[in-house]
Amino acid sequence: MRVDGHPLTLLGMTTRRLCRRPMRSALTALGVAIGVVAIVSLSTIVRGLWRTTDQAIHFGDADMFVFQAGAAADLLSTLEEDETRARLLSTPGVSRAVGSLWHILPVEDRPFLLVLGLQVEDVAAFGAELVSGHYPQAEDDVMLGTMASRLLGKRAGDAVTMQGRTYRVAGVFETSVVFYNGAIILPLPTLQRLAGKPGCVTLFQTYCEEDANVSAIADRVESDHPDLVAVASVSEYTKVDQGLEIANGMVWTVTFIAVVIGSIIVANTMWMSVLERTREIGILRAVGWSRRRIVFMIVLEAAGLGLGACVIGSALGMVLAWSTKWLPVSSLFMEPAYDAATLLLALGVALLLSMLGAVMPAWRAARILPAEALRYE
Amino acid sequence: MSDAPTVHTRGISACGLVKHYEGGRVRAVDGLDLTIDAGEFVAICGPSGCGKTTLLNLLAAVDRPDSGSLSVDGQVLTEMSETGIDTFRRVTVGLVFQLHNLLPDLSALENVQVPLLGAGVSRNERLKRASALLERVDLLDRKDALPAALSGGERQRVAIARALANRPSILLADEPTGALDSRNGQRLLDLLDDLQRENGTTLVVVTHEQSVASRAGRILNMLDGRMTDGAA
Ligand SMILES: Nc1ncnc2c1ncn2[C@@H]1O[C@H](COP(=O)(O)OP(=O)(O)OP(=O)(O)O)[C@@H](O)[C@H]1O
Ligand SMILES: [Mg+2]
Repeated sequence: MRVDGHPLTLLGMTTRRLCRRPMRSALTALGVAIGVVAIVSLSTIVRGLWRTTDQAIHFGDADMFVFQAGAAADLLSTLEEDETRARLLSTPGVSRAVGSLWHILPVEDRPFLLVLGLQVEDVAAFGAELVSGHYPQAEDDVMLGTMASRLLGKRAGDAVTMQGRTYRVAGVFETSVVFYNGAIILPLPTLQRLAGKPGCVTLFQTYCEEDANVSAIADRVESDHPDLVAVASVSEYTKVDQGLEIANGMVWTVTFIAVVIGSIIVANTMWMSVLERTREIGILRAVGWSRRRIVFMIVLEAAGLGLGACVIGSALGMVLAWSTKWLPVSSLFMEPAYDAATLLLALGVALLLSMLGAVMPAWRAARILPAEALRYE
Repeated sequence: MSDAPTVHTRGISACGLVKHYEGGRVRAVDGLDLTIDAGEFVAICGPSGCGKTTLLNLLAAVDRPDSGSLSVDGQVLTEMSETGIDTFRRVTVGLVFQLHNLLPDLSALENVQVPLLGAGVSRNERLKRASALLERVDLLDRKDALPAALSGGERQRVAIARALANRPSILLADEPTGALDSRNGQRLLDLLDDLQRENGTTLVVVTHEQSVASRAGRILNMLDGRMTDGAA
């Protein structure tokens, strides 16, 4: 006898079921996908912010940022330059400390740009690669990051106006850190005067001796100098600024909302699916399917919807995050990070919300009595 | 479990079986006594609404009686747990419904596999057994057809193949020929006849057609929820 064809499987029955009502399945998946889009795009952006910040901390092979302790936000940190540098250098294991003043200023027609003040002799050591022109020499020489140069339409040799004064673009630089590329570098005394912070810097890029234990040195800096905080990685950035944590919190908030809304959408669809299948479920029960198997079938169907939503939502979310590179504001500060963690989050959310959405329908399906269901028209 | 010594027969024995609906206003099965021996071919006849389907549902453990005792194939249904009932439905009885009740999304071959899937039979075995059963009811060439594409007689034959999938010792059929013309009805009965003789299956067929009943070894007449001729 010929034995061909496919063995019937629960998975096969589920796919068949979802495809039998393609519009309903697609619309449900799309509804749930909206939440996934929000999660994926936001998470991609926030993780981009984290990564960019981490790159900044370690830019030029530096080991940590040292800020003023207790500042309300990173850019509000204020350190006395010479005195703090001396203290850092006296900490065992610290080899170098480069102070910089960070400021936000309107430049030409841009409402704000990041402005960095560096000692002229530190500019070369800062690690930025010169694309054209030369490093600042005079006190009214500035250097533009490639993106700032593009935004302002200025090149080496052009003039730039800030706070009513004119500066000369000495050179254009490029780094691996997005927000540095959108920044302007000024000689430190010039920016200290502009910002009204004579003798002060915001932070020190701090370098440790080779093979030194960075976290031990960071601890030592903080215990020796309670007025300083050392940030050796992005996860420690909360010591000086809550922005990253707030952004993270937003991802979790959006995730929570997406789970709630998504599970309601799935529950609605699955409830309908169970009701219209009352008779079929009764037949399955009558031929000996256990309650557990019925429940599993419903859960599997819900998971199918969730997975569909995950695929659609992740793809759209990444496209959305990617498109922020055309938004001038966000492109100045970060580059989206498309990583596995975001996709895992989306998958976890999709599975979680389909399970939650399946609870009530599965409970309903398990309670179907075969004798009554068989009479159901 | 059926190896244990028991006073109950391997066939079917019911005593004072009651199933009422709507708070007792509808007495679908009303104190019914019944004994059917293993391997017997019995026809249950009676007018519409006398409780035949209700009785069959009770025998198949698709429904539970309000009172009375019922043992089928040595198992006391009225004392069984939920999981015991599941196993019983799966293993002991095959039920051919009054309306074929095939799953509309699934092909003939897949419909026959449904009880096998429920019983956790392996993939290859599922396919092999279902194909053999379809061959037995002469429908292997229609194995990929959906129920909607099958004729009434073909659907009933698929339903019979499905009922036999887990090799039940008792086959219960509710008006299996109800939707068929007499020639196709007779062919279906030939098939049931053969199956019963080949495997020694106990066969209980509900019908209100004399021509169908006359093929059975014994005819039980039912009226108002009871047997009329002292069948017990
Ligand atoms: N779930 C139910 N709720 C209320 N009444 C019911 C229910 N199930 C069956 N009945 C009633 O019980 C009686 C017996 O029904 P049953 O289906 O067993 O009859 P039957 O002998 O199979 O009839 P037919 O030959 O028409 O199929 C009928 O009066 C029917 O209306
Ligand atoms: Mg009936």
